[in-house]
Amino acid sequence: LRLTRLVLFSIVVVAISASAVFAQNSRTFVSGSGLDSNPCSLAAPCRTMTQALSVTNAGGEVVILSTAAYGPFTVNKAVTIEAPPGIYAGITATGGDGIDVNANANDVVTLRGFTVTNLDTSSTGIAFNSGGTLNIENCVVDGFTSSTGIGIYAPGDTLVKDTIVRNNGSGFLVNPLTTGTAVTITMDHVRLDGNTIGIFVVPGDGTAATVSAVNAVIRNSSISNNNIGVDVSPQVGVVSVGLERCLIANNIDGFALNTVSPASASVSISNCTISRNVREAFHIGLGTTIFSRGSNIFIGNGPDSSGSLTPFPAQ
Amino acid sequence: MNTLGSCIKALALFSTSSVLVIILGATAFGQAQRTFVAETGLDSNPCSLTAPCRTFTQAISQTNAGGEVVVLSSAGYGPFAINKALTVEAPEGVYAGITVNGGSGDGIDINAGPNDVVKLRGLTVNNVGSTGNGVVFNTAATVHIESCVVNGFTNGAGIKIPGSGIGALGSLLVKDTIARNNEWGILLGLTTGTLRVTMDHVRLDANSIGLAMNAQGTFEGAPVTATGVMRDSSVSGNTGTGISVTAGNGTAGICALDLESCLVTNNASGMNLQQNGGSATASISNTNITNNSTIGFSIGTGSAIFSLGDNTITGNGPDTGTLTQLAGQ
Repeated sequence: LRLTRLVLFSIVVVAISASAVFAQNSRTFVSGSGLDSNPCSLAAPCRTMTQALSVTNAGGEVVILSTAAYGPFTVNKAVTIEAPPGIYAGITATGGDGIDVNANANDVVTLRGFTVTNLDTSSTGIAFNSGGTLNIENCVVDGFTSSTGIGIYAPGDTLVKDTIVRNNGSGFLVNPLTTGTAVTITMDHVRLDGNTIGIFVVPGDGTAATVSAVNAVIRNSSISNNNIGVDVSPQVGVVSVGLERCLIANNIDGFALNTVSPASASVSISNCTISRNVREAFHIGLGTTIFSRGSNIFIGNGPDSSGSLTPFPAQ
Repeated sequence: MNTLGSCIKALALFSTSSVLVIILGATAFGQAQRTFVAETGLDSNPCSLTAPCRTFTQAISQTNAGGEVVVLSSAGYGPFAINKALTVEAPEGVYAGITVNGGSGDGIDINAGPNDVVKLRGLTVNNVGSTGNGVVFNTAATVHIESCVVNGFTNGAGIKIPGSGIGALGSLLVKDTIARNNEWGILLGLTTGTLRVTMDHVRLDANSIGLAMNAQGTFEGAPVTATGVMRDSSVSGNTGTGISVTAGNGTAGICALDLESCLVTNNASGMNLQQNGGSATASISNTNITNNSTIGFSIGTGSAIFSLGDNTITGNGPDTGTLTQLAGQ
């Protein structure tokens, strides 16, 4: 009897400690040598992002401890997932997306320090499917050659900083598949180079979903060596794209702007270099405007530009 | 019975592990999407995370086209060549040195296919007494060089395109990279095709010549063309010319360079543009061309530097030629 009680007691203790350890944490860890049977602690890290996320509190962090590949994953709550400098955290998409953000409407999701690559699937590197705010910092998204590097598929706010998006079909795609009010985009020190299309803003394309506005601001960024640098072709909503101190160079076409009624689109440029775009600097199509502050340099572009810039004085 | 049972279990487990090991081994030694090198690695390993290789050459041979080679620990990894679409990357905090010791070889030779995209990231290429070059773009569609240092190729170029390997539309993108103490920081001598060069946050400092671009000849009925755009970069302290843009050389050729927010300072000569049968032009905006001791800029006959009117040009030796004003839009 005593033995039985002892055993029972041990079981209870084990059960309690296990549940304590495996409960939700504010900060969890993954490592190349981790195990998903671990509690995802600093001393006993997990192996996969999926397991770490499942034991992390909303509002918490998952931190990567060592260089390794971590596999595709989905984020369904407010969380920060971070590889510090010095650690390579590779995510290779092998059939689906690299990272899916499927969070709730007010959730803030931050991805920092990832390298997202592709085995040429028709998927997206980082897909914003739902959520409040998505921060993408210090990431590389590479090689989604027949699809999309970063895809914004829902209304919400996206901020991209210090990130390289190269060698994709669409580098950065805005095409919400769910109806909502506004998409906002803020980019700083981003390199959208060597894609088929650098930035592709096409709300309403192939979807009945509507969005009232897309407001994008891009600063200190390079959109170069693409087939099309900036393609703004909305079918719904009012699209506004502002570029400050950007390089739009060495593309085949610099800007390609078109709308389908009732959408409208405008691009404003200041202190930008728009040069060496082989075929044309810009195509200003139906329902679109390029506002120019007069401080941009246009040189060495191909002869086929259509439409004219609309002056927009500094204040 | 219990003991026997354990034995059988252990045996079964052992067999299973052996089979697993064999299968894993077979898989690992095939081509992998991502391979690893480390200072403690062995080239007899499968180049996996847990069993990394020692050299890039071995890791590249074990990597799928389109895959990645990742450096796990600080060390020297030796010169290598790339013959397919590939990323070779050392994360921040890891020093991956490529040293060329004597001889005439290069640090990294890119000999990829005409549709291949090659990416080098975080590598330090250093020369000790060779007559070769740091990174040589012989053939590929696009080469990205990011966060690299190329140093000491005093008889060659830090980054070089030797001439005839560029197709209808090649791209070179250099970002966050330092080329110093070379004969040429970047040397682009194009004799075929069209090349688009984008340089962002690059330092071509303390070489003999910072950047030299030349395009000459015809390709598929059109002039060979090299267009360069450089932004937020420094071309300073070079003992000869900071930037040289030349074209034609008695045939055809178009060579152009746009500078935005750059420093061209403390060189002997700042910018030199010359053409002979071709077109050599440059544009400058928000750029400082200062304290170049012999000459600020030299614009040869038939060449031009377009100025947006917002540059600082002062403290140079006497210039040759006149800037052409270009209105902002």
